[in-house]
Amino acid sequence: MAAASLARFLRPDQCSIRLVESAEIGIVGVGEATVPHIRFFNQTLGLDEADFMRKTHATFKLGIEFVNWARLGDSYIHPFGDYGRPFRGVKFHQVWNRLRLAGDTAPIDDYSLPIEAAKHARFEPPTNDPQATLAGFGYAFQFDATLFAPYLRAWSEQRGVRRTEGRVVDVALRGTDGFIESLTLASGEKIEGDLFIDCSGFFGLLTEKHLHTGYEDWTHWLPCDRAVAVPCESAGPLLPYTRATAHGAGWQWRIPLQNRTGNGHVYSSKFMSDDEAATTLLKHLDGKALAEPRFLKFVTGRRKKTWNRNCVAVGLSGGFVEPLESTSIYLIQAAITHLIELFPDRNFDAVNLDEYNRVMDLEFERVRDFIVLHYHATERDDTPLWNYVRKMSIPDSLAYKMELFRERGVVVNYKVGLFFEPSWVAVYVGQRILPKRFDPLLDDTPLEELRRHTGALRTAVQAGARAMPTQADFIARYV
Amino acid sequence: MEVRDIVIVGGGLAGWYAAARLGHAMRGRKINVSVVHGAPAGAPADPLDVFCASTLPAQAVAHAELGLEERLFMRECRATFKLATEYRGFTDPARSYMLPHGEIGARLEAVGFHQFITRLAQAGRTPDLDEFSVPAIAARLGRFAHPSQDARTVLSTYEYSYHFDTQAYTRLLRGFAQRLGTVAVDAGLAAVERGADGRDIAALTLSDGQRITGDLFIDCSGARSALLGAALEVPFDSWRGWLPCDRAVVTRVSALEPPAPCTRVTAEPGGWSWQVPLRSELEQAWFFDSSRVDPDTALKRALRGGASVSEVSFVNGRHREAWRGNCVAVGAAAGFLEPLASTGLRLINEGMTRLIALFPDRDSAPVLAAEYNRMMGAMYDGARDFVLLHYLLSRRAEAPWNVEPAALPPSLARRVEMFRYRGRVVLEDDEIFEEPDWACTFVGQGERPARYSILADQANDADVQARVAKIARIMQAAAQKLPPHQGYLERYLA
Repeated sequence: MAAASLARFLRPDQCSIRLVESAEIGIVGVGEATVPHIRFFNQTLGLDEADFMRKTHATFKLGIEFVNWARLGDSYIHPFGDYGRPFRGVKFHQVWNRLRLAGDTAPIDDYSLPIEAAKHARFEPPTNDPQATLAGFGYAFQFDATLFAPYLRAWSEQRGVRRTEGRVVDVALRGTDGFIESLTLASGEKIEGDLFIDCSGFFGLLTEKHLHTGYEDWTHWLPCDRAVAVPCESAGPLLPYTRATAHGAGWQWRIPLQNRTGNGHVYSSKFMSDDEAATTLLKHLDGKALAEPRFLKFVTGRRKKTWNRNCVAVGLSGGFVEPLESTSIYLIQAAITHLIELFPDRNFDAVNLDEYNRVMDLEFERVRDFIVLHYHATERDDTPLWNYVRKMSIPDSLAYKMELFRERGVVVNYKVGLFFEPSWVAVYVGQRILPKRFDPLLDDTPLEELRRHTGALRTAVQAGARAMPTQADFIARYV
Repeated sequence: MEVRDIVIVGGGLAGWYAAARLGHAMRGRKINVSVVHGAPAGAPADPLDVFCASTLPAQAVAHAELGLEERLFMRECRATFKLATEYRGFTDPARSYMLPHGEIGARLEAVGFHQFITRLAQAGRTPDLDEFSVPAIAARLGRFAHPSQDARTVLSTYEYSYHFDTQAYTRLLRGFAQRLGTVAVDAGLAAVERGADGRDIAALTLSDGQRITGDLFIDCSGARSALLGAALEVPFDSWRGWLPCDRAVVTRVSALEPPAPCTRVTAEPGGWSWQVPLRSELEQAWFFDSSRVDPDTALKRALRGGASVSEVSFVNGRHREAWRGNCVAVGAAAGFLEPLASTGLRLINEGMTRLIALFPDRDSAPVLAAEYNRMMGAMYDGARDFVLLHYLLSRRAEAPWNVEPAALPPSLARRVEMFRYRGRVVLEDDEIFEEPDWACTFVGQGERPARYSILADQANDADVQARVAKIARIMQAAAQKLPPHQGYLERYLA
């Protein structure tokens, strides 16, 4: 992704781009599910959507289903889109909360077209007509990351990126300031450069092993530190959403691709053994496992400076937050976008690096808060992990956000960072953080008026979803 | 426990604006709003009663949401349209630049248009950003029409706002609020009773002896901040060290020319002046630092043109919280910023929008007030940075323009550093001004970033020049076709 983006935006007469990778080192490939921003990435490169989907076995994604999170037996979908429509300028979730507090039982999911479509395995791209009864929605993809990499490689090489197969065995730092001067490969080849982008994964080959940048550990908020992954045969209709099912010491992902289903179990080694984790994973597959389970270790957190000297850490080398909300690829994209906006010259002035790190810190912290919310806002007390996360102290920034929502259903907005109001509403409500009070502007509105408003929306949602083809049919035609 | 009784203190523009917004938002609700509108004897004028005469584009939207009909409002308030603010003499006395209401140039890449201009400047050509904005060109030509709804034309790329007579506006709002049920209490504030815990206001005693209780008190008393500052003792942080002006003289003269669709702000020795065109008059004011300029001299100067002159004192700054306990301050009672960037009414409007969005119960948790204070604090501070930027970048040799403030607010220091470094506009959460506003101001004040974005470096120089020149031609042609402002006003309001 970094090579392709830089090849898109840097002039070949001014910069040359080299990429070093080794087939000996596998890729993690847990980032198979994405958020709608990926479409902007693809559009920027000018990728043809149908071709991209064909070559990466991709499916469409309308949201993420969370099963067993706040309570065993609970389920909700975090959709890529808004709920309902405002009522006389009052936000829809306030109207819904008004009726809920009056005893109405319709879940907020009933007012989301992408949720309704997801539940019925249907898909069609949004029209986003501002006059439509329903709010517009977005979509993302679920794809095979191990196929996306070669797809981008071909694209990048066509645009002049030189790829070198080889393992980095040595890194030379400049004596004066510790900047990276060159890499030496196992073949003996020496590669010099002005700017180095570390996409080596958790290991942080350049940023950590050689620059000793340091890492901020968030395990006390997000205790999962292992994952075990396995693909399985597809079963049932082709679903346009990812599922995250909470288990006793973590959670399991299910990502439907065109040809198979990706699965993985993220867990905390403090609360579960590797064997038990693998057994749990295999017990909860939709179809026959297609490979041996593969284990991964990680430490949740963020590199202290994702840009240090002349090295920018992109992807897992910059930081890791478990893929519960499919943010891994988003954070790669954010790192690249901000790098392009703040592309340096050879001086690597501190003002530029500081600005990059300020913005990336916000990106990471806002994703972190959102993920911590899923764990902390639980009533589960059936296992030690859930007891820990329910009682742990959380970042002040998150405690403040939760208090505002509990008090009045207010969502804190910000400019930099992922996840806007509808996403926060989806997860608060899904995690049973329910506002004790609705917007007082609705205080003296007759309930019947509100019910007419919501009733019409419910009907429109159902009709809208019914009018869509199944995702399987849509993809068969489209791809 | 719901809030049912709301008491607004202050019958100026802010007070009646608050009443109108509340009355409208709460229509159909069993809420009692009263406005204590008498001013105590000898109370100083609320500076915002004068300095809301020039507005920002959000006002047209705010009026539409209120259901305040545009033609009615414009007729009653002798209003004219505004497309931009012209800043004169900030770099050198002969030069001016426009801060238009709208986009600059066109989206050639995912990057601000000013990045392309920086590139051309480095190649030796230095066009002004004004040349790429329909509202900026139209403002210079004295032309106006409402923006188009058709997204395919450049006539949809701008917004507009108003100039108006603030006294007439206050009367209009008062009538509007009273029709929505607001009760006008014809007495002044005499004393404030604090509640047992000291955080709340229990009751007000008025000049006629009556005692008024309420669930929520809105302090629109102007800079004296009678409830929030005086009674609840929320501290005021002065910005005087950054923004030295503290006095203005205001007068109104007959217009000699048709009204320009823009506000004029002119940097002068000792301070700055503004000219706000009304239908047949021109509102003029001089803002100065009374420790450097003799107020009498300023008064005499104003008297040369106008029939009556008023003098207004102010201090730039804001209270540390605008909402404490059951008291929310809106307008100058919360904070004041000289109107160099026409922020007066916008800050009042935002104060009310956010109060309505976070509307409390009598027993709401303090987190609602905390969120309000976070957002409004950021909004005031962002506007302050924007105004302060004009002082900071001015190239004039005399006070107050040549004064280097001891230490800039860190937020502004970062914005200036990043713009100088690479033309990057740093935006904070909850602020009024957007990327084109900052870029226009930096560039208009003569800043040329040291480097430009690689996103502006895709095409070759000749290609960029050709595209940029074409955009300028399109903007120019579009602005030329608009009708003269005066004629448009006459037809529209006939």
